[in-house]
Amino acid sequence: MRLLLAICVFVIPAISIAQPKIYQRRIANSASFAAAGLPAGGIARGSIFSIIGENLGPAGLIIANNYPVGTTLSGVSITVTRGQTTVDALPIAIANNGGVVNAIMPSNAPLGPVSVQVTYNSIKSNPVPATIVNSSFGIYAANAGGFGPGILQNFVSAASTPINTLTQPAKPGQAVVLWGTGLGPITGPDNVTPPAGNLPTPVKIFVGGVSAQVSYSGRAPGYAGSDVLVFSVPSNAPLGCWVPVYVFTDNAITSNVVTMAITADGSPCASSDTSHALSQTFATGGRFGLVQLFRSSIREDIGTSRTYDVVTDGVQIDLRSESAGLFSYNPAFSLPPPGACTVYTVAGNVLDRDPVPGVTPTGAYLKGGTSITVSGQAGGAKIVTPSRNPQSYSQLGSKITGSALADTTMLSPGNYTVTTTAGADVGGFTTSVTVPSPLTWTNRDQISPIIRTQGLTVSWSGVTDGQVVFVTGGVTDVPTNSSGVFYCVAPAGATSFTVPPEILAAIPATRSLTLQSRSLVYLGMAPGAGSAATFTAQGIATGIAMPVYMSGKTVIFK
Amino acid sequence: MKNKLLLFIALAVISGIIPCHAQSNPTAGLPLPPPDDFPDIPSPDDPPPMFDDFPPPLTPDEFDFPDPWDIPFPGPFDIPDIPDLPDPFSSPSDFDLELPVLGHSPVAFTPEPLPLPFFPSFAGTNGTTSQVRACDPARDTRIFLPDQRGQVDVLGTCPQRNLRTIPLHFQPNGVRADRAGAVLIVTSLDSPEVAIIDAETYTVSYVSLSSSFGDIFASSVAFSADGSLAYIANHSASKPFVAIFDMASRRVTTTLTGIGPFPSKVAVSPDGTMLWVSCRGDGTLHVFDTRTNAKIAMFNVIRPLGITFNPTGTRAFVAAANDFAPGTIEVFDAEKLTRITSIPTGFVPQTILISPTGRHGFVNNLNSSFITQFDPVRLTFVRNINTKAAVSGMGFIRR
Repeated sequence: MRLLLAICVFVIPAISIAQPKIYQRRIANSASFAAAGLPAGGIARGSIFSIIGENLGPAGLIIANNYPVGTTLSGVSITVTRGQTTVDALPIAIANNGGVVNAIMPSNAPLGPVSVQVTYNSIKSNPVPATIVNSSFGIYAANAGGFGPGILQNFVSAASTPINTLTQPAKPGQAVVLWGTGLGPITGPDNVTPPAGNLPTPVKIFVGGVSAQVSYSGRAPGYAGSDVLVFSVPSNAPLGCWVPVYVFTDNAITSNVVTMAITADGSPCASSDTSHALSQTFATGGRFGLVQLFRSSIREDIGTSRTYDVVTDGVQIDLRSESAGLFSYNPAFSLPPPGACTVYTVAGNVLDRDPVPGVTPTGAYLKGGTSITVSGQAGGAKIVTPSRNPQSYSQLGSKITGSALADTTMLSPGNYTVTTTAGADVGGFTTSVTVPSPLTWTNRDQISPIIRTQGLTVSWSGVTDGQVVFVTGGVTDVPTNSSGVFYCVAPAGATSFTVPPEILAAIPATRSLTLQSRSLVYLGMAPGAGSAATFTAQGIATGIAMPVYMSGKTVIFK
Repeated sequence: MKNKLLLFIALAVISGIIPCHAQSNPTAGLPLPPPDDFPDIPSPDDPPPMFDDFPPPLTPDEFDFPDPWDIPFPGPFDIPDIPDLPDPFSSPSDFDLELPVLGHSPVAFTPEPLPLPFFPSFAGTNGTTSQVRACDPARDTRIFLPDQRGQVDVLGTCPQRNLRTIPLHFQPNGVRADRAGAVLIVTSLDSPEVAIIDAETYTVSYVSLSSSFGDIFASSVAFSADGSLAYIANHSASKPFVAIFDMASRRVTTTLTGIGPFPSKVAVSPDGTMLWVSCRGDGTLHVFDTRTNAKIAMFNVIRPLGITFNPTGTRAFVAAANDFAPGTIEVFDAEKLTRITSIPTGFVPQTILISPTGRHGFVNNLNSSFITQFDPVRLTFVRNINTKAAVSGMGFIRR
């Protein structure tokens, strides 16, 4: 018994005093979660930021409930140190069983690189680097992930300020309240309820790429660390279910990009835009399938001794069920309206391997057949088996100029038949896809280097009616494992498009050591709503089949 | 839905903004009349907070690590990746290099090797070089090779040739180029100094490492991300430490202590925020925060030798040598600072290489006549590539 007692005495304390650990590169604006290596990756003075790790605090949801806010919350305190200067951040929430601590960065925090350390019950965590800046705004998003529908309130009347959703869009000219954090420091204390008043930080708001009139930009009265912006939806803002909204502060830093719904009369959003053939289907939910035949042609001439043109053909069958919701959003289907751009910033290597967040279904991937046959008009056929069922991309062929590799491409313009076997959730089906002649990117070889403050203009020709042209690209900053990618949809009938500087400000510059960055721009086209082929299969309500063509080029962003 | 919405607002906005009960009129003072129906405040009984509202993490069924041809995400956001060019190790016969046994001689390369295509090659002491397949003269790479005869051999890779012999007044142990390939530091276990070589002019200057910290016999060097600092391991049993050497003033400014005896390798993470130190004397691995110089983690690893990171710095790979059994590569999550898995190798794995794309990994085995290839993404063994003898120097060159 004594032995057991001794074990308990010595073991239980050992279990209960696990050292707090902050994960590397996991200190971020609590609204945008912009990765540390990105232009918006700094923590603004006076903003709310998140620290992610383990054993950072007690279990359960703990929220500071009284002003003034203390420097300790349930035994958790946070120091921010630069050289000989140390300030205490103000912990205001502890969540996920001590895995997340939200805190206010003091307005007098030292600018520049700092070390952040959490102490929980007198045990210090590892120090983790962060960078303190004057402003870096993050907009709260409905998914709490920093993208998709934002937390915006339509001002209808004093008694009615509903959250902007797919069923309650704003209309042009309407006043809207946007919630976020990171506008900059205040002169008063951070630990008491802040007063109303505009902050001096220069602010611009863009709605669908159109600058909006801002009538207030400052702390949310009563809400320490949180900011609100009040603006009017521009009369010429594009309409749509997912109109991008972003904030540009200090004439230098672009926030995360969220979306809002805008309709002409404020009636429920019907996804009338034509950016993606499945936007409407996605918004209303259900079981659907998407067959895509890809061809990408990438010019690789940055960091290579000669120019390579790499052509890759592939097929992908995406079968899924989606649930409709007020905040439905998926980067693959919730495209910006024509003429607008969005940005995704990711803690990962998006241009090489990692996915853009939010592409998984709200319901489930449906299991389809494991064998896909693609037959061409010339009589050739290839059977591929996705490496992972059900939504895998499978390569059909490739070609690299100047290499000894055989040309195995097959998706030249023409008609193709895609057939798949039956799976557990979706029956086998056959559909036709017509691959049109690809567009011609007329200024592809003249765009690099791209000066981000000057925007990026791309020009093309050879697009037929019904095709939607998109411009996408970005930079992966390899050493910091962070990426910024933009995605723009050109207006119908356009032959050029300019990606605005404020969008490019959200992506990092290409590093001088070429191995440390991957920078690409793509110009592509795919059929819009009403132009893609349809198919039917048991187990899904809607099936769309389309070709997607992408012309790419390695570039340098400065 | 209203509850859900209110909960979200409360959690995503209000939970970070306190005190909750003090906010009767949050838009007071704004150029809008305040809303009457402002969100409620969550109670402690509410569901978990905002991070549970994140899109659920992908499960292996939903997202497996892609193969080289895989496209990471569906829809118009698909950005097809450039495929790797043919694997140079597609068959053993492709690997027809002469692989001399080297001394303890990690090699350095300049200019920085580029990613397309890439394969490891080897160069030997005593002027012996390996035979490399067809190459592109525009991609000529210089190899700086410590030569046990007391010199550094500078070799060109395309065509293969001896470019220069740089005599030293000590026997070199290793050589490390900074990330820009402009400066190299040559270490010696026999002399308390390092040689600093200008990569363009080949001029050599010697810097004594003797200071108030004592003599330093350098076993390994790593540069900070900006090249302003060099971290130099003092190969000592009784007084092991890592010296922080300021490249501008060329003096040791401070030391990192609290490590084990005989530190064998130092490595800086790609983003420059961490320094990892392997100590073969007591089988420990130490991690330091480079901003504060505080030690932030320590692991036990059997005879740790080489350390390297994948290009994004999310994984650290440590060569672990068993005395009488094949070794392993110990894989760590460099962000969560936890050990993930082990990958089997030959006897005494030493230098680990990860290709610039992060998809191919190799380790030489000092006591086995083969190189081990592994997959740094799936964290699995791929194969052993037979060589004519054990290999101790290894690096990528441009083809």
